[in-house]
Amino acid sequence: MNQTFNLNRFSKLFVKHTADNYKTYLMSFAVLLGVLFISMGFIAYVDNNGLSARTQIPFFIFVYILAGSIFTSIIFSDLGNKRKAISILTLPASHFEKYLVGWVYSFVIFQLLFIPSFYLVVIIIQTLSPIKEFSNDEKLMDLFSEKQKVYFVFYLFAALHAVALWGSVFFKKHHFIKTAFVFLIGVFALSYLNNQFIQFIISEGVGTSTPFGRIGVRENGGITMVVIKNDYIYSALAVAAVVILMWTSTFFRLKEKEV
Amino acid sequence: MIKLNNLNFGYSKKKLLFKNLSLTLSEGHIYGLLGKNGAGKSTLLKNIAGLAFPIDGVCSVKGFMPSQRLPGFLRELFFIPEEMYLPSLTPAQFAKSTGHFYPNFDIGHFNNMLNEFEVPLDSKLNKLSFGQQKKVMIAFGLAANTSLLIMDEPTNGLDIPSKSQFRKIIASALTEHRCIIISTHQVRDLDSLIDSLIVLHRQEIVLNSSLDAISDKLTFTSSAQLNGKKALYTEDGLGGINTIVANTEESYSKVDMELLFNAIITENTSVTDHLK
Repeated sequence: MNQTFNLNRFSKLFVKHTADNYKTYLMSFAVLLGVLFISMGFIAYVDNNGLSARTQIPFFIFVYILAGSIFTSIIFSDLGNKRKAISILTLPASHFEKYLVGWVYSFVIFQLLFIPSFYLVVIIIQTLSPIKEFSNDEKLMDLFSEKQKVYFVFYLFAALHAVALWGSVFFKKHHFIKTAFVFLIGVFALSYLNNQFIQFIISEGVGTSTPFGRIGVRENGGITMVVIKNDYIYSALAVAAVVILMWTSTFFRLKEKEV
Repeated sequence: MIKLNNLNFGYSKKKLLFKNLSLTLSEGHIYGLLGKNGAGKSTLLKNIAGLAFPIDGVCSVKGFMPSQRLPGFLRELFFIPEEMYLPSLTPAQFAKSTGHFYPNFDIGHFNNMLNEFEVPLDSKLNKLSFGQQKKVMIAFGLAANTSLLIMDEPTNGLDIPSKSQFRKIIASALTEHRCIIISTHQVRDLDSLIDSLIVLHRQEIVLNSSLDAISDKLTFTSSAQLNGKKALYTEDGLGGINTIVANTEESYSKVDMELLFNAIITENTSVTDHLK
């Protein structure tokens, strides 16, 4: 018997997780649809431009990130409840299978449901709206447009997912608030330390510095950005490394969970 | 089956709850684990179940390290905690979603026990009373047919007829391949049920012995029947003075677990010394 991963055992665990939680998940999904309908419907009603592709982008980014982070931060929150934790941890499945079920639900299934649902809500609102003057190009937001680069939100989602997943195992209660608090402190600390480090290696003239980003140097009364060729790849790799580190750390935290 | 060797455990390294604790438990027995409130009964059970990790020492169950919580270990174990969580499912739905994780799960046995415990089959588990939930978990734990069944205060919340049914069902569930550990502070609930007694007191296992072995060494009687023998321990009871004396005549007397437990926790070394 494989003690780390067995597809049959994983399938059973996935089915059990679904049977135990489907009511909560369906209700959460209904609330999410309601929030999208109400918020975007309101804008479509008050804005003379209707719900154009440009208007959809901030809604998509904000709700996608916020709903995804909240949902992920509760995915392992039962481990903070002593009674529930005992039933989860003593169930005959491996830690990896238990982790994977939570990861698949919060990372894969959430996105597979959210993205089509967002477009569905947009289409319904646009169908009900009296404004029909969109050209075909403007009607629906293009996630992969090189012009607007909305796809960068997937990096952000992955990073916040990794943080929220870690918080859902690490904290015993108030998972979302505590994770958000620690995350913000971490971001401030990282920005400060990054700035100090850059100032240390470049003794004078540092204008701006962002962690994993470009450096601005004061020059001739202005700020010149120092651009390294393909620097966005290094930034993406740095974010990917942090995401993988956080996902791995969450797994080990689950493995070491005591009641 | 279970071997604890020089186990140290504490929620902080500075304050240990168990110090060099050693214990061996075998299949084919029902062990009663007794201890005062806060003695660490539940914590000891959690160490065996892999829910709490020792700081030092060895804890082994059927060759597995419980702290690793490998599926091969977990399918041999069913742990019924004092307070449990049950999802919003009917007993049949729960058995269907969870039973197949245990290779020897017997759905017929589960249903029979629920009928015997008079648990409504169409109610959601989370809507049942605490006592009814306990019965469902006991029925599920027995139907899972795991080789190790651990119950922490299983009789809490059970009414008097249910306690009697519980004793009957547990006694009938013991096989030579199974080890059952029951922790309780209600000693009388274990009457006519357990065959071995473990007493946890002041960070140590002060007694781990079969009731037969205890009965071979000690006689539980009243002071009126002492016949000149020296009492190892006495205690005022409703019907006179209850007494423990050395069993020098190889006579049989039923072990009065409450009296024995009181003798041990009142630091009466003459009883524990005699049992060594």
